[in-house]
Amino acid sequence: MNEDKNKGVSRRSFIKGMGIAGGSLAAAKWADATPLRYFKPTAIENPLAAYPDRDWEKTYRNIFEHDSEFVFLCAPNDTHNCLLKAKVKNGVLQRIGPSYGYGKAVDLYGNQSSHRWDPRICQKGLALVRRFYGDRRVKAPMIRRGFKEWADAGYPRDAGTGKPDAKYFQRGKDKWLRLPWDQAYEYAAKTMTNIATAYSGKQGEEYLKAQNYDPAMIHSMEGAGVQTLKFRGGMAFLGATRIFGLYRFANMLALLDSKIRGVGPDKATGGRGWDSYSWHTDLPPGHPMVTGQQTNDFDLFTVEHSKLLIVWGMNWITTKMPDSHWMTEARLKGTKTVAVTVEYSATASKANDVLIIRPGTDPAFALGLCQVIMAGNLYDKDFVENKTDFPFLVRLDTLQPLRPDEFIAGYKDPELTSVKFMQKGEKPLPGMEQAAQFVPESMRGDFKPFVVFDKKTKNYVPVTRDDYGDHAKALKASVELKHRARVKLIDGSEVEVRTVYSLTKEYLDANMTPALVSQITGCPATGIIKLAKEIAKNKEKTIFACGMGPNQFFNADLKDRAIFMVAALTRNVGFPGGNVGSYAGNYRTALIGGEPVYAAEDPFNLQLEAGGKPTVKKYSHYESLHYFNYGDRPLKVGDKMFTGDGHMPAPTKAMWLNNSNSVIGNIKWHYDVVNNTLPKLEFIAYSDWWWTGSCEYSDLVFACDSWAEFKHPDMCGSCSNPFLQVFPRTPMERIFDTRADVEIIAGVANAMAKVTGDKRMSDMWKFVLENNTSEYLQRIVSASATLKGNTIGDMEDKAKQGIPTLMNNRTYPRISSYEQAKSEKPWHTKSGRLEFYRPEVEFIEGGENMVIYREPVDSTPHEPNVIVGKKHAAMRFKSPKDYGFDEKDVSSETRQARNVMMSAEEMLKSEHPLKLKNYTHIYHTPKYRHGAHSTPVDTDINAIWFGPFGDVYRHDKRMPSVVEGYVDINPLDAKAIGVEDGDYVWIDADPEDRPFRGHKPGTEEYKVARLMLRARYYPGTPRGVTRTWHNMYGSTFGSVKGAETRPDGLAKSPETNYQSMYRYGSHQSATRAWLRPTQMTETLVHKTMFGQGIEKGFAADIHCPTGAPRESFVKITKAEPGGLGGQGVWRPAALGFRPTYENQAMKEYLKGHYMKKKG
Amino acid sequence: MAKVKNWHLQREMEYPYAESRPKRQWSIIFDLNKCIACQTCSLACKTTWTSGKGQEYMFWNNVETKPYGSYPLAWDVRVLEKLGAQAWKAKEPYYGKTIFEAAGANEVVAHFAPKDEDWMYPNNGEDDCLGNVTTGQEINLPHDKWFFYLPRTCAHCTYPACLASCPRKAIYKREEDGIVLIDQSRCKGYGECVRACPYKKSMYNTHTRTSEKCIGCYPAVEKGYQPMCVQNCIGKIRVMGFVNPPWNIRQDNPIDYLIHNKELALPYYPQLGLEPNIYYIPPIHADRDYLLQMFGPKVDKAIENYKNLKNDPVAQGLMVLIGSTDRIMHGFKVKDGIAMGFDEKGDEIVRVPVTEPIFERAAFDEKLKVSRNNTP
Amino acid sequence: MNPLTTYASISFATLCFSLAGAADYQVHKIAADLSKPPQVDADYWKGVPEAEVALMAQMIAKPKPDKAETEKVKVQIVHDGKYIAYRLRWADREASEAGRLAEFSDAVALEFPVLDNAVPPPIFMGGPKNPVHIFHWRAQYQHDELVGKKTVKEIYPNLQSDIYPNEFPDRGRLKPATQAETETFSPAVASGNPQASRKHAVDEMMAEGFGTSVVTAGGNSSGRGAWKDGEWTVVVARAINCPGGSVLVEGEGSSFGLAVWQGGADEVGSRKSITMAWKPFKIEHD
Repeated sequence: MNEDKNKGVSRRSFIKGMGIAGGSLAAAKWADATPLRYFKPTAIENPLAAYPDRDWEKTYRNIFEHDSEFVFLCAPNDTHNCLLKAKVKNGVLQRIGPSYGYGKAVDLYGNQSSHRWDPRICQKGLALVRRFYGDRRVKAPMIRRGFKEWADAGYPRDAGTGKPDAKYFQRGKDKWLRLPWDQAYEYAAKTMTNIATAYSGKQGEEYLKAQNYDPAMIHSMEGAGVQTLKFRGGMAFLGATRIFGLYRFANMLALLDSKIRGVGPDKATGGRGWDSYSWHTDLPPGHPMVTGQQTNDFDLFTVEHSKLLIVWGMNWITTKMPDSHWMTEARLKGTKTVAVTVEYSATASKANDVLIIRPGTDPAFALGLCQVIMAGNLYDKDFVENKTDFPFLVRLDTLQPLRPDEFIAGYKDPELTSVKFMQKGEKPLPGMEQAAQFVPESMRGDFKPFVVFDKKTKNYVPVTRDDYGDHAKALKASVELKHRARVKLIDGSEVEVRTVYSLTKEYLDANMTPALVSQITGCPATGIIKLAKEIAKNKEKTIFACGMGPNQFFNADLKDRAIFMVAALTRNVGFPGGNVGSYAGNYRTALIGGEPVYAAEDPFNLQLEAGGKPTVKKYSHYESLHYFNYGDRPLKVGDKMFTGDGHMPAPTKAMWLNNSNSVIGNIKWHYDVVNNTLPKLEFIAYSDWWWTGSCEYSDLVFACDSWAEFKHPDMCGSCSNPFLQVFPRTPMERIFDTRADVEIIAGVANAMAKVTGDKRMSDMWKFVLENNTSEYLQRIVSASATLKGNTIGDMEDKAKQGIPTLMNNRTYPRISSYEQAKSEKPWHTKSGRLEFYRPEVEFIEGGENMVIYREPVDSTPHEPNVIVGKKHAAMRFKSPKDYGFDEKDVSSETRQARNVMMSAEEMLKSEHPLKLKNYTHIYHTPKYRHGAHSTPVDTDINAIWFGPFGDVYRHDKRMPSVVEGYVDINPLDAKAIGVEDGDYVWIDADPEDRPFRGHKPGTEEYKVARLMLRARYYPGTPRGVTRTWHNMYGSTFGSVKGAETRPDGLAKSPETNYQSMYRYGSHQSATRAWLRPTQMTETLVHKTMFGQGIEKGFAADIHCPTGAPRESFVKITKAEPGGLGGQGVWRPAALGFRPTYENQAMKEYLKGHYMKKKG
Repeated sequence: MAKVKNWHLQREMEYPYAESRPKRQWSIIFDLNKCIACQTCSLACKTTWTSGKGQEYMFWNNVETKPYGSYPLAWDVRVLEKLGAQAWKAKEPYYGKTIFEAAGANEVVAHFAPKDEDWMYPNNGEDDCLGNVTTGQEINLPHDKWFFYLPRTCAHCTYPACLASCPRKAIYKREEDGIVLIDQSRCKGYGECVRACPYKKSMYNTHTRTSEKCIGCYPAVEKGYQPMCVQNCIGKIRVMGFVNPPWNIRQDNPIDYLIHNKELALPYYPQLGLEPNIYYIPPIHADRDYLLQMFGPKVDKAIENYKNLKNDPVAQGLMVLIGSTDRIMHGFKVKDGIAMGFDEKGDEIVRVPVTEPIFERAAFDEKLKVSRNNTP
Repeated sequence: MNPLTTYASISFATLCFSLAGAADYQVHKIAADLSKPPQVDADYWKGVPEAEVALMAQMIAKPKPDKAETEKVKVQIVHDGKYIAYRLRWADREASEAGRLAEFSDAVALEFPVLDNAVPPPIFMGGPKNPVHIFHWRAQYQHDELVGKKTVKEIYPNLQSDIYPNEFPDRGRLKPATQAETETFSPAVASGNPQASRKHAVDEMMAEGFGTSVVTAGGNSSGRGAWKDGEWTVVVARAINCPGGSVLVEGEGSSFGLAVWQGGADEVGSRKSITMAWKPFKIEHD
């Protein structure tokens, strides 16, 4: 046979060549589109050198080649936002890749980022290709059957309570129906109108009383039923128009209120908006308490300029993946990296030094550093004297700052230039022009001068807010930092005064010495001392990159105040190489400062001209979602209401959220919300493109376009990088019957216009309905200091090429407190300085006027939430008795307001109340590399990497999905409770309130809610500390039904396809909502969200509760063996390849014995 | 058996076929001090090459946590066990046995054959450290509790075990770039390559009933672009190029520079005898005995060299060039704090600053009438 | 120079020698239609003389089995004038059909000379320019023919895969994908490797020495096997005349070789038990 003739010939021609006998057995019996290739026998001499026929190699080239490509923006719940390139083949998005355009971003002045920013992408973005076409897409508007029946019946209500019949509200267990879009809009509009009407006025008040809402909540509604409608654009910063659209909608509802109550614009109120940053427990609540601003931070690449990097409670390597190289590159160029962590984490493996502490003891650890620095006089004199309140004198009788007019006869507080007092009706400059700070005249009293003692002249010197930073040097006072004395007041009385420094130092020396802090935190004293000295050596060069870890404990604000104290003592606030940053979630809408022209445009006075100037008027109120999470209740303990009036939530009767799996789906205390709070709601709507746990419990789900299908542009920014990112419109056809998020909001508003006959409601969305959303975007751009000078068109065109735009902040990188460190501006505080003493009444009553340490509120083997300290003249907090409850009452509810002081020694001897009942472990739930919040953890090729139990073939049918949730536990602890590596275990937290209040064993609700998961031997976590990653999808009624009835055992809802990653319960079975008194004050002074204004009390995402999702103390019991099909020990352990199970070969291998270094 | 030159071992060794080096050799260098185990590389590969039927479990590129992680289960423990304890004196050739030399009379290589269940749990051992953290700790370099991440692709070995063991000779090495391929039109799925490859980078496809492996992204490489796992590496730990043997070094070739000039990058498990063409910059924090077992006796020197990078502006320049372009860098240059990469023709394809600069903008832009606040 | 082929040529001489002493097996004609896929227990096998063929572990080409998993095969042969059928029985602890990773199928192969029935080529799969014609039955291939090629979901019933390229749970508004577009993502299928497609119970191959075998279009044979009580019984029927391949002639003789694979013992490819010498037979007219 001739070689080339028979090389790769098709079946047919070969058959001719060979001839064929026995036709009855003809080869082509079944159709096969692929022509089989036959060769003649091939002898190959040396395949290392040559190979005869390589024609087949084209098959891989065919896979690789694509027909076209386009760019879309991936912006889940993280801080990165990546422009990704989609490769299209045969009209299908086949795969995704990076844009390599980040090195081409320029600002208005021609400054350019470098290609060191490239590539920006991650595994979750790559996995999206399987989501766009996946079976959990929301493919069309969906309505829950029972809800539809209630609506169709005309919203019948109980005459007495106004409550609908529960039969209509079997959420999570009901059937779902597809709807045409116009009907979906109409149902939403009619329902919200009905609810707002039902709960307005006297009738509404009666209903809500009958439903047992706290009178303070009802009172806060101002009689407006629209305030029972709650809206939340999830991580709103991620969508200037589409996500903020829900807040614009809430503002628009003033029109509905004005119709329902027949009031004018002066009295009309909008719906209520829920918070975002503080809801996620991302806000570091102590930052405003020290700096007056929401959060102090810096673009992460600033780390290049530091000499000492302290990554504190932040798993940078897993949660800031695209920015990890800045850290590892700084390290290779000589920056020393230190990890302060609660386990040997991914980030620890990139650190030079690792300090492992007990979870939640971070404030003590920081105070220990301060003690060493103060005791050794290692602090920076200049910074401490001029940029902090340490030298200020405090009166011990009142615990208030000493004021000049209290002891200097005839002293008049001088007029201030560092802050402008605005008379009533006086308008501030437009936000983007604001350079100077301003406050309402009514707050003048909050800005009185302070007093320091001059040790040279022996004089008491008044210090005003104008004497901030270097300006204080004009006083020529040689400040006595440790001053304590008695001062004669004008009224003749004498009072003892002491500096903040002296009061603080006394507390630290008595309670926070390295020896004591070592016992509290578990970290050796040597580590504390060494680190303190290194920080002091690296002035302006120590970066504190703090993370979500310590932020998720009840004492989070104390942690912030204490870490700032370390940084302030060592001159490490506001410098490129020396600063404090907190990294959790994405926030700081103020970077797009023009947002209010869209989110708060006056609905009574709409700008309908393209290019016209909109008027801003806020009719909507904001409130913290933590009250909803708490059971739609404020914090009332004993006879005391701890929730300030300005914080007071309204009863929640309806909610509409987008981009928000953090509410319901992965909410803290999930099963309590599902079983105790959701039944109080009459309407739950979600807009999403993926069927999440939140959708499972909704009444109406709007089907959104995926990022790859955007037909309306949008834009977003980030708190950790300098880019403004535009979501470009894409050429990809919508795969399903979906709409743009903003289009959906406009659609509902349009329907409401028809229902109410008020055309303004559809005018409100004129440019969306005209498919010109860019008009709104341009209005925002033109009103934003960082963006003005750009056009949305140009920015979108660049985005289409994978190139972002640089924001025009003061600096690249953006560095918080930069102006303050240069003494150009004061901090947004009462004193204009960094403040470490809080004289407000709530802080004094809570024992936190000084920065002190409290034990975690639940995640501790010791008595929870106790104030650690010995008797101190400045610690005069209110006791349980003062609040009217029993000193001994440590239940979760009272514990939050329980002020009991113990010395460190006493506290360490004390025990968690549940310890007697075999509750043994701290259980915390941090975030990890395999999900951005919960996106897209359930996608198979992404999920399979999530921990040690991934198996796409699911050899063990018990697996809820291709992977499953697990608890990491120290092997020695596991053995002690008879749990093998890989076993299934039950995890139970405080039975009083978890998994939910009023749970009953034996009920379906309890079965779904009780957490069962795998145990994984994890040598990296200390004994007594267990952990489950936060990101996985939890069990629902549907997923449990799937796991128990599907032949393949998948925990996937037969009704909705919702895919759980637990067979039963979820990590949120063990968490609960917590409300903290010092986060609900009426008095804390801080910067406003936008611009340079200063205000006090409640401000969403600045000063309000943040919860404590990492607080739980649990019991762990074995449920099932981990071996395949429940037989024996989990295979990798049984074979001897797991920690503590090592076989002989594994032992040799771990020691490196398979290669000896001879001689 | 033929006698072939293996420069990793600094000696000749036995191999079924005569030595034949390609015109140039595909190669990747990984900086393990930068790998974050995000698995973006694994998914870049997966979504490009192995999302088809029968490939569900397949990850041609994977990242595993060492020492407890592995894919398939304990692949290296079991191969080393077959090979037995060996010794290697620093600065000397390796006189121990390779898997070719340790093979039994009936086998081409000493190997272990993974079972179906061994391919489960691709990320088992993720973040599991060696040593028990029982309580609070102070840990300094080198860490007494440790793990590190090991990203792995096919090493497109100079002496591939898969190629040597294929009874049909359906596996070959491309003369133009040294990429090793399994001929998908001739493979009969005997799985001999799956058994023989000590790195376990040949995988069986139950749908096509053939064995498959990493193809070095030749369709990209042929066009001058780096493989998908490299283009997508956000840890910026990888650079793909062409490695030359020590007798043929090119000074400005990034790969040669890091392997030969700077002695930063080492082959993994060189004692197996395959002359693998993926190289690793070893992690500075992990246990030295373990690292020696994996990277050979040059590991101590490599770690010292890494620690000295802080005083080496040129090497720093190359280190920050890594990952800054999706093109294949054939040459590089560092001058005045700027690093540049060049293509085959010597044209510049990328330039980056060794330290990203700080820009300060005016506090107030009079033209635009906007105030610039870092606390807006 | 590759060791595998050298061995093959060395052994050539010894093989011709070993053939000389052998006694022919008389293949008688029966009244049956062997063109149809045969049954292993058809009546016509009753009373057909049974020869016992000894097998040894393949020891020429690496990798080799450590021992002869299959030491002997009982052989019966008949023909109907158009087809010649072999009934082969051997002991095997368990039936193995392959499917999952690292699982291999039980199999048996018959080989015949192509160029010269009187002077056959090296028995080890022929030699350069001197091919053998192979009829390779596999339990796995029989499943292909009778039931269909196992899908991955059949192999791993609990498998959960969100999508495959161009294969989605719901295509929504997408136009249907062509088979070619979908097969692009399985290179072995796209490159037309017969291994990747549904097979007949018997694979027909040509080979000119170890490592050279190639599948042909076939169409000349059929086969059926059944495993019972630790024994395989497999019948392979082939056309007496396979133009371009093994051409047998009624009234004349030729010889065959055998190879058996026990999948349960991880036997596949060169890991097999084989006849070390050709087994002569003669096709009688009656």
